[in-house]
Amino acid sequence: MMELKALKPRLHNIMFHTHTVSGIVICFALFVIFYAGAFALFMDELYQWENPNARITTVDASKVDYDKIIEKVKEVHPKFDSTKQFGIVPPTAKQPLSYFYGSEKVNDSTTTRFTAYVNPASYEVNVAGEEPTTHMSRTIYQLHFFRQIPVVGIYLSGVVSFFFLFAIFTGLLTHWKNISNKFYAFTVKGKWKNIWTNSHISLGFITLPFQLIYAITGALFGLSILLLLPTAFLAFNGDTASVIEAINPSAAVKYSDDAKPIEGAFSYNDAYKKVSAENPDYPIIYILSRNYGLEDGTITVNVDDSKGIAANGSFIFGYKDGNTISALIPEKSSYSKSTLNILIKLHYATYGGLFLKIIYFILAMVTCYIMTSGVMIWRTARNKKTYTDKQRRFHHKVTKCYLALTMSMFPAVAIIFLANKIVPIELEGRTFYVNSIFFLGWLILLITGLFWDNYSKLNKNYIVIGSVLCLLIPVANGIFTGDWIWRTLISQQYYVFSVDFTAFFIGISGLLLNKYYLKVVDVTTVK
Amino acid sequence: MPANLKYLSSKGQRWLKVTAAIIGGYAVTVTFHNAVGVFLTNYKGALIITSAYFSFILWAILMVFAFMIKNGWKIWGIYLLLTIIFTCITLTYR
Repeated sequence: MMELKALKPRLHNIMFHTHTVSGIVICFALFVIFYAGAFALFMDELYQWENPNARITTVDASKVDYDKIIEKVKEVHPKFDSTKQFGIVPPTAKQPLSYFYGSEKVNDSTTTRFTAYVNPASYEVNVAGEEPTTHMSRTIYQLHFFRQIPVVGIYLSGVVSFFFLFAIFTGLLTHWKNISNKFYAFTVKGKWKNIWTNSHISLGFITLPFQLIYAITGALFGLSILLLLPTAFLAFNGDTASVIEAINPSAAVKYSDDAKPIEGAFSYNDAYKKVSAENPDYPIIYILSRNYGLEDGTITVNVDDSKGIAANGSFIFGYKDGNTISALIPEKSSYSKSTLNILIKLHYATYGGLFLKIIYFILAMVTCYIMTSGVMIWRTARNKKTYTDKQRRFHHKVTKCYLALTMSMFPAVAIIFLANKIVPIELEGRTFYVNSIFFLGWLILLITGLFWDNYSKLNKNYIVIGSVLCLLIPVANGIFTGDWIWRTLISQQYYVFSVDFTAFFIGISGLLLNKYYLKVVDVTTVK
Repeated sequence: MPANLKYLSSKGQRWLKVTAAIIGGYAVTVTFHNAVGVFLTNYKGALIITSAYFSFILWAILMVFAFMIKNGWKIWGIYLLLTIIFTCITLTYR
């Protein structure tokens, strides 16, 4: 067995203390980030389940007439301003509806964004306004960077990510000596304190690369402003635009406000055909244009096969003549132009197909477990006579609040799945109702949990509630959309079926776990 | 077992270290990348994108390092000195 040297006692205790303090401070927010983020990985895959209107037969994206889509949107939505940036997402097996993101003129000075859904077979257009019809996975996605908290939410998530990096480094140094021996001593037998400690160390070590990826990319997405401003000031003489141009070629294209309208020689269909002919292995994921219909207009085509870490590209063509203005060829772009996309792909798990996303999901859940085990170690180590009753009550309260907040997320996520089905799909402003049910439901669950003074009872109750709600998910989908689980299996609608099946599987597993394994034991000696 | 209190610093010293770790560490990180950047004028894009992820790593390492030093004044001194040196390099060679 590999022998690792321990740190000197002073250093070990300092690392231990900074790890404990930073860990306890960030664990509440970090658990929410990882738990919500784990579900947000499947945002695209969940789409057909959450929006029954999208459960249509897939049309081959190369057979779609994209210029006809633009014409249809203009017909249905006369306020649509085609000179502002707009774009089309071609249909895929995951999302058989084609998305249209455009701008509409409110008056001469202001424009607002709108989303439209286009059926690629019938070219029927549904304009949804600024918010999409269904918002379930997007709400979960936004929760993972605290978008619901105005202005500061995203920075808060960035700060938490950065302190997570600090906690990883100090944790690694604290447990350095034990990395290999606790790894081999891993057992689920014996005292709970030992199980918490051993699993915290060995699982922490296994997930270390995964956690480093998220700590760094999370901090970057949340706090990029901290880096961008001083760098722009010193290296680019205060020119933030040229900083962005250095890493993003599309930002370098200049547009004039008084460009004249012309009849262009290049269309969306031409752009689609040209790019797919030159890059047959890379599906087109987005086509967008700026100053469309004007003399300096451009059409941009983005490709990505979602299989390689650098397998995405971007091609910009002039609207006037179809000349290539800039080309970012997949797997062949430079370090400076591809790294940001690599960091994004590492964060969103879009470089290895569905299997990779499942691995990411499991690793995210393990990370959640590591946080909870850390809190349990913290509290168990302090549940001793050497601490005053006041101190011990404080440790107990922190642990209870943490467990109530985090464990209640299991039933809360099931609630938003149910709310997505129960609130009628045609209802105006339904996103508000779905989100209110989710957040209020979570709050009620959380507050209820604070009355369960025993940790194992709290854990057991949340698992039972969550499991029952999970079992209701396929039932709700069956009742409200008519797509019962056996029907979607027979008709091979796997994106719908797998959501129902996973919910069913989790529900059954939770109830079995409860029946055979979860016992209420009193470890909460201080009330 | 929680950390042994005899190895931890007093309140005043703790504040010095926390501020040196966060503020001092940030200042050293930013000025370091800019100082390197003035010698890589043809690779500004690469510099920006490298600093995008490496800054956080360096900053966190500097945070850990700040707590390892016994005297909080000393770590503030080191980080201030480094910041000044890197800023001088940037201003001289830009």
